[in-house]
Amino acid sequence: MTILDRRLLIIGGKGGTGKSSVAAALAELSAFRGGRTLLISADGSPGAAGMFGVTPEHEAIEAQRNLSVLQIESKASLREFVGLQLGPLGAIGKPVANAFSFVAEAAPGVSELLLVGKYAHEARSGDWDLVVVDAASSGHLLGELAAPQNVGEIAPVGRLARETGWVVDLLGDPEITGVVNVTLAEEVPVSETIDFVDRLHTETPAHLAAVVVNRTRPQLYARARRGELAELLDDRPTRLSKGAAGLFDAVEIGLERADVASAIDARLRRALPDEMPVLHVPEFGAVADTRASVREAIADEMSL
Amino acid sequence: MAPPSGTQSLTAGLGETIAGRSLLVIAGSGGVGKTTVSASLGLAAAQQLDGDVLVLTIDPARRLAAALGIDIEGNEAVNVPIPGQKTSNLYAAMLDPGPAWDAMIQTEATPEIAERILNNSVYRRIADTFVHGNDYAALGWLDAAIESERYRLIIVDTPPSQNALDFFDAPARVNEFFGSSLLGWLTGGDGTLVGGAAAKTFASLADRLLGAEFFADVVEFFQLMSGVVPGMVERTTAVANDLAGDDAAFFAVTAPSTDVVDKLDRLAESLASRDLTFDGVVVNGVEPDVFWDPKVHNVATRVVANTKSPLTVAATSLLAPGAEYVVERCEVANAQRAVLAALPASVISTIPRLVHSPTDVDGLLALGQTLWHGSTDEQ
Repeated sequence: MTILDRRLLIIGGKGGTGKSSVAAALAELSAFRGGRTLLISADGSPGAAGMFGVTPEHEAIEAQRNLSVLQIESKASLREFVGLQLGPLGAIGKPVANAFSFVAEAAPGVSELLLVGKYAHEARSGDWDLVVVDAASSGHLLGELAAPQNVGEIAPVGRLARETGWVVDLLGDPEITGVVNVTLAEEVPVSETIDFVDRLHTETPAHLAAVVVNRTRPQLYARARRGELAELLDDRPTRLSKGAAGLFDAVEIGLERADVASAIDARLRRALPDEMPVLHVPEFGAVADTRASVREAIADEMSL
Repeated sequence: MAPPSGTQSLTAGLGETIAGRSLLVIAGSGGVGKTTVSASLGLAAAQQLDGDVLVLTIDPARRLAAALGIDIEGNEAVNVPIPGQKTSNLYAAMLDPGPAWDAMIQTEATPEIAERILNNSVYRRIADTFVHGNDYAALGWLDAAIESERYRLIIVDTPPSQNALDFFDAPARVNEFFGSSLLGWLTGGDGTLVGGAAAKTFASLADRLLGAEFFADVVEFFQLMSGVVPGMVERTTAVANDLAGDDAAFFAVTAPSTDVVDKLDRLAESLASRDLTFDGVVVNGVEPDVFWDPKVHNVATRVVANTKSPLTVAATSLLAPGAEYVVERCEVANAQRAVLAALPASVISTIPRLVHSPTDVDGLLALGQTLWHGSTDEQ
């Protein structure tokens, strides 16, 4: 089973880690494999869904073969939900729906529940083989994933609470729903990922499907060459030109960066269960087509 | 203005701008190093200014507290020991929205009303879920800090948001939320539902969806808050105006990549819409000088291609994989040069991409001093 063999993949991570590029890449891979795929941006910006040349809206739009995109917000989801519940009300419908939206926005967890409810609804609709969500950053995402249970506990008798049961079940089935955390091989992002994984486990019904370490440096040198290089750097040729001396300094910086990153990467690996996939996406230079490069790197890592 | 080639062209010092103000707002999207910059500037300011400095962080970054060697909890400003510092003090505080909301309610309401609000089940969790609740709580907290007149300079490390205006608009949004005529229409004078068919439909819908008991709490909450909100809005509006006033400086932190700078452009536009501009931009993570040197780029390219390498055959072959990385980073530095040239600000300060980002007071202070004084690095 690859991480794509599910119904719902929720992509989260700290801001600045490249979460949207990873979400877009996973959705495109699924579409390339022939899966009818829906990519949802739910982080308050066009995000991943905006990377395919169309402006995402509240309704799904087909952006390319097998790939539709959608952008949702809690407010719009709330209105949609209330509209469904109210049915035809004629002239009084709109003020009632507005007032209800105001009240429900104040109710703990309700707007989060409706966001997650929307992901879940799309995932079980049968319209899609896979729904990929470019979700909110880590803290908010935990709140969203915990919302169905919390709302059930706070307002246990209402219809909304009865609606939460199936959402909790769908989120909690690891064959159906997986959470992907995107991180960087740097101190702070990795600490936050380890914390996120822990809290995902204790505070929400959802399961981790994979961790993506973005912008990694592949090891430049095998161990033997590395030793030789260290000697060369320590004992530099004399009378180097300014450019050549600079090259030695620059290579040294590159090696140091690679060492720090691999130590942090090892810390992440140790903190995760052995069977948990950790996918590495390299850092691309200034000229790379990022989406295609990320997609190909992830495909390699998943051996697709 | 494009930086001259061969150097990353730091930087006007930010100290001059900061020294003339009493408030400093640090904005930017997530993951760009706002908190590090805020702490560094706080340390430098405490060293340079006559009077105490407060850094308020709204993003809960426990690592910052660790780096500053302090334990921050529950909205209390904590003194940060600075090595060798004799005159001014640095204080740091981390916003805890729940207690900050409680404090605002207790300031505005009578003790009985405050107690009823604080015990209301809707209120108990609203600070966590209410849209822009954190921004609003931060303004309330800031109001108290400004009123105390304890600080010469307050640095506000803003929450990462799509739009800097969220922060300034929080009072208006809170006012709109609680002052909505729709809610007045629903909750009436005595907390029971009034009105005609529409209100009855609403009540039955709310009961059906949320449960009657919870709905009663919702109604009570809005009713109690209606007496408290005007005073709260007045205070926080005054703070938001202070933040946008002449005594405040507005700095943005960004990463040197096109997508992040695009977000910065949007931020600049929203600022312009209320006649504000950035007083400075800090670009964090710029490639170090060596990657900006065309001579290094040139030698690295020759080593990779193994033509006209100035080094021995053995050294060239050994360095080639590393040189490939160097070529790539030189190209990235070139792209960063274009990004820097297009920034929407005249005062630009850069922080090189470090192998180890600062994790203690000494490291942060060194960074703060560089940002404060600028750098005259010429290559």
